[in-house]
Amino acid sequence: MRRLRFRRISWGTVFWVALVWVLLWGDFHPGNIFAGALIGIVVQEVLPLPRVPYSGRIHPFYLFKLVVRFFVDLFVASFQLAAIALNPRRLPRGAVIGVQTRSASDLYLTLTAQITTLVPGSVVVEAIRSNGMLYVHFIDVDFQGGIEAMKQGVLATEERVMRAIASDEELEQAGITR
Amino acid sequence: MLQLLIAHLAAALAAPALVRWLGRRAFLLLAAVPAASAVWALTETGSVLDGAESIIRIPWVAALDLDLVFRVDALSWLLVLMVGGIGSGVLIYSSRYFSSRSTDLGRFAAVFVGFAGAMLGLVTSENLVQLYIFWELTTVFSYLLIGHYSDRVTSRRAAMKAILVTTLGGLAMLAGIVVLGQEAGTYELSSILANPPVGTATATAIALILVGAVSKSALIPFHFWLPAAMAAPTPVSAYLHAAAMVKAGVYLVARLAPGFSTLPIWQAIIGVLALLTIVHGGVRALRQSDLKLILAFSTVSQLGMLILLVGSPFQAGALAGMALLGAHALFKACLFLVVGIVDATTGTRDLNLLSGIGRRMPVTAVIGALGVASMIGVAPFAGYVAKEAALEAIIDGQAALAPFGMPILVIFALGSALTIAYGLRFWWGAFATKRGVTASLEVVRPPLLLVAPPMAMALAGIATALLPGLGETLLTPHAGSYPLGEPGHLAIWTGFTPAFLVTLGAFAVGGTVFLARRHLSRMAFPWPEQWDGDRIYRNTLRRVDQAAAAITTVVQRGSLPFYLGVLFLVAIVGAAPGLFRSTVGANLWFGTDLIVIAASVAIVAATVLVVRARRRVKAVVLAGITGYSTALIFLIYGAPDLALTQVLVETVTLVVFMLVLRRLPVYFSDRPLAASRWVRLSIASMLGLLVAALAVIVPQSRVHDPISDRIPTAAVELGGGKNVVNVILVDTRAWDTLGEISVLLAAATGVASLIFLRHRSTERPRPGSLEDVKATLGAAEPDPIGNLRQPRSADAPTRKANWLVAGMTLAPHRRSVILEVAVRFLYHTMIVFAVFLLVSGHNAPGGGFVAGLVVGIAITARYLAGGRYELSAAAPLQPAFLLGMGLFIAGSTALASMIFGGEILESAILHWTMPVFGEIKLVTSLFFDIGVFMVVIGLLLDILRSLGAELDHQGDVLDEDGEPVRQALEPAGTIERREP
Amino acid sequence: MNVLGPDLFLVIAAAVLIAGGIYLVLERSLTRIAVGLVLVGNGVNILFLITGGPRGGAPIVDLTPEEAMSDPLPQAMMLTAIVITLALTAFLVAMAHRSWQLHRHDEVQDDLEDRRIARIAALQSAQERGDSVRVTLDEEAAEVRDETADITEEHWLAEEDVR
Repeated sequence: MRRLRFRRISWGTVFWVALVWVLLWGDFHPGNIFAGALIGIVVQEVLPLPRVPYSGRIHPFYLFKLVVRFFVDLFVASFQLAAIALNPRRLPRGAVIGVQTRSASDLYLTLTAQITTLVPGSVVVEAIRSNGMLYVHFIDVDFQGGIEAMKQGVLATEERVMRAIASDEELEQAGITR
Repeated sequence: MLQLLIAHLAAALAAPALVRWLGRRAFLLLAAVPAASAVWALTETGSVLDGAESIIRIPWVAALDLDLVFRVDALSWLLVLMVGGIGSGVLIYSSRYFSSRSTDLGRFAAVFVGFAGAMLGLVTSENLVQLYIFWELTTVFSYLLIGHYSDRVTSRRAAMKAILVTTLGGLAMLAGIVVLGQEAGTYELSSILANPPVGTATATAIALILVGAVSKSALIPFHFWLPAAMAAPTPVSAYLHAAAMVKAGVYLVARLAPGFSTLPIWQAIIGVLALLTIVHGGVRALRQSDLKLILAFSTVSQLGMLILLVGSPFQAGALAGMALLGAHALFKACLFLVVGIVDATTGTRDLNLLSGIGRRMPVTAVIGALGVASMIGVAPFAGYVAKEAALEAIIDGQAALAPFGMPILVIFALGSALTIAYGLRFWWGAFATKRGVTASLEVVRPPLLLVAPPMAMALAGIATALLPGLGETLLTPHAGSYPLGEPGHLAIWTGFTPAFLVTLGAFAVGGTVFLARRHLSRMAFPWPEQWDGDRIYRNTLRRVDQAAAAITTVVQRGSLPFYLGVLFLVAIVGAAPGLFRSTVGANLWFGTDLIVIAASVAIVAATVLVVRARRRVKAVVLAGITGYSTALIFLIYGAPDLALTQVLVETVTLVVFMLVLRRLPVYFSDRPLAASRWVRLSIASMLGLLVAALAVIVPQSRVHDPISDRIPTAAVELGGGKNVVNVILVDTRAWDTLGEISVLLAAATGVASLIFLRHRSTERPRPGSLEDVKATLGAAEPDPIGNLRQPRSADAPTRKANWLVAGMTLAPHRRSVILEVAVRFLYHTMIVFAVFLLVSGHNAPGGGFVAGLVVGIAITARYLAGGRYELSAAAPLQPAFLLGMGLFIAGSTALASMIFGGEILESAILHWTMPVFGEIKLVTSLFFDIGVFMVVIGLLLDILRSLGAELDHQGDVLDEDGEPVRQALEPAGTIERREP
Repeated sequence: MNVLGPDLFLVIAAAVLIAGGIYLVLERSLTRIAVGLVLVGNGVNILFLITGGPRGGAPIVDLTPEEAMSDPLPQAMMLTAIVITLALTAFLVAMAHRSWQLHRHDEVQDDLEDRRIARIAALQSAQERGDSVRVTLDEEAAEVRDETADITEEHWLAEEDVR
């Protein structure tokens, strides 16, 4: 019998798994919660993955702002894209723009990339971890505000992400003031 | 009776061991077995004389009314005596005849005794089917005996000829037997002969049976196997071709004659064939220079006479025929054995080379003379008595035989004359001293064991002739059962009857022919070539071979598209008429559901593009689109389980294709020729139309209520689940699922065995050793944007984050940070989701398959993100273990229900309450589902290991320094490239 | 039972899928055959769906009333078919790779045995088989020899029997 190595188990994951389990069943019965927690522990024991290198702190208010802003962007971008597609007169001019992100963590890089990709009109085509470069393809640079504006948009996304879930040291390292 | 048969069988089985132990002397021991049957026949003489028949009936298969019935009456008695007596004589002779170093003596002895047993069974069988079984047994044994010298071409060919001809006859005979049995309502001979059926069916049956009999007894046109069978050892010829095998046909004719000899077709067949054979055999015998061949053709001619006599409907003829049967067996066997002695002494059987043998071996010469005298028909030998009786019968029956009476008499007399001629020639050729041929004069005394059997047979020939009255009494019971004429008589002297005069005339003619042989041989008139039976046989065989090859060439082209095309064409042609006759109207509903319309349009467009695609990846992706559209259709049509499965399976299929396509060229090879393209297009379109017609007609042709109306209620009550589809899969039709997971197991093994060249790689490096593999996987691939990957400043902190276990083993340009992070976060969630699907599948969409696929996809994601070492870390168990364990669990669940008293695969619903969890309901089919779950995971793991990790491994070739070699995308160098 | 017939678009989809799939299956390249099989599998599944009757709700007992349920039996069979098609595709694709590895192409070749028979048949019609050479009975008989013992030795226990 293997020695239980509790360092493998991240309680955050256990909580998350229990939550998922209970939501799937749709019933907040204590049995479900217990079962969820148990499954969370077992799954991490049997299928271990390295600990997530997360040294930040969650700021609920900024998190809320991030989510709201995401949905607003989604909404607006849909209309923008429709306008671009249905405009018979101009041909969209796309471009791949390199954006230098400031954070030192893969997590924030990924989140930024994913949010950028999910919003219609921009797709991340390459994310390089060694220097934090993101190469983003925009469908119509002029319509969406120009190269510089696009770059700032991505950086703003990154800033929102880091404000929401990064610690103060990381913010300082990235050069963002609180 | 049965004991005798069993004794023969036991002796045959023991013979090889006996021969190995005792050498040639084992033959003497084995001779006791046929002798026993002869002795037994003698003891039965009393009952045969009384006219009583002893019947032994052994029930065998009651359901088919099949009994083993053995009967001994006068005819069988005669034949048992012959088969047993001559058999033992030949075995005694063989004990001294063969060299003790001859090949395969044990096998010879065994087959010989077996043959004797089969003959015994044949002549005592009462049931026609049983008779046929023994008949075919004799055929097989004769094949083995004739082909005894299996290393010689002549022997093999002769044996093949014999078995082909006699089996052909045997098959016709079987057909005849079946028809006759159906017509008569029974297969038992005595019943059939008591009330013979009439009609065209019966006539055909009799004709077919006669074909079998005449092929066995070497009548024209089936005679040519007999001379060829002289390639057999001489004892075999003495037994098979004198006393046993060829007599089977005569026996059958004699057996059936009382009931059927008045049929016109019977008389036509027998009359024509027998008469032709008598003359043909006699003439050919005159032209041979090999002693054995003379005897062979003599046998052919004599068989013609025998069949003519026993096949005639007259009692007198039958009596004469049976007498000749016995006499012929005695003298022919005796003569064959004598030829064997001559051959063994001098080394040749060619009468042109033999001279002065009579002086060297006087005893043998005397025996030979006795045998020849009987054959020729000199008083007071058995042959004479029989021939006289035959001539009497023919002459007396002239009136009844009109208008064929005279020709029969003439031909029979001619046959006698020819017999005399070649008989004299035989003895002269073997023993006389000829001018111009050198001869040695020293006297040789052949051993007693070689001389005694032929001597005994010759003496028996005399003895039976000296007691004709006894013979007549013994043979009349059977002869008396013939339909027509007066009973005949056997006597040595009946006065100067016309028969006697004919005999004198035959002697005159025959003697002249013999004396004038040299003049006649100069007038060679050869038999016309194209009528030669041998040649026809050879040509026929060759034609059959050629036809077979030609047909195979046309039908079996070996080309897969051809076979498939034919398959589909037959399907179209076969199904179309039925569909045309359907009366259902084309009630099509123009659906208004937008999603379904969109999905269908997507499917049609994608299919058309797939067919035209020239790049492999394009074809695969488009096929994937059809898959996802199908899933959408499933969802709209109320099949959520199906939609789930379809989506997951389509994803896995895409992954599988991609894993292999990275090793295949980008473009498909050239398309085939335009002509075949149109053919394929037409077949495909017709099939599509057929399917469309099916789709329209079949749903509307439903007459009964579907059984699935009753399933939902049963699912809840008996299966304990609300998801009806899942209940069907793991409960109602769990056998199908069991078979399905076996298929998965087989496919997984197949894939692994096709990809792994050596053995399943069992390397599973622990993370510690991954340091050695750092950043090497995929390092050989070109990296076009490598210069973009430089860190932005020399002192920037290097990102050492390890999101996955083995992510660092991949070369930098193979790593995707987004994929790694996403997989890290999603992985456990996916596993939990899979467990949920597994557990809730019984009441909501889900189930073992879906759960297993989700886990498989999770592991695939980890593999794609982290490489093959990640895969090893992700799989807690070996795929083979998972597969086997899963099948085992599923199987034991099936059996467990039997152990607990239910049916196999019956599921039980268990309820109990637990403190924290509350009330729990568990259905045992969950364990079955868990088995399925494990098998699916095992399948996907095995696929990833083979098509993913192993192909990676084969692509990453390292050179001596452990550095990756550029251009390592070719397959591993251990494969020899074979030129097509 | 069912007043309306099957959905036209589904019929078209199934027919097109099967036609396209069969067209690909009749090719020689194994990859094309595998893709064709995937298409045929999808087409056949849609065909099953059509024959299962009109559209209904999901066959889950508390979710839809029994009269409105779609037919669950063909669905179970389709599920089996889908999974087996996956296994088959994986196997075919592995075979294609193997063929590529060995022969540098992934085409299904003609069967060697059948081609050999065709060659033999062609040869046969062009020449006589040696077997048909006419050998007379006499010539054959001259070759036939039994393995006989030496019978000049009088004693029945001949020399060769003594070991």
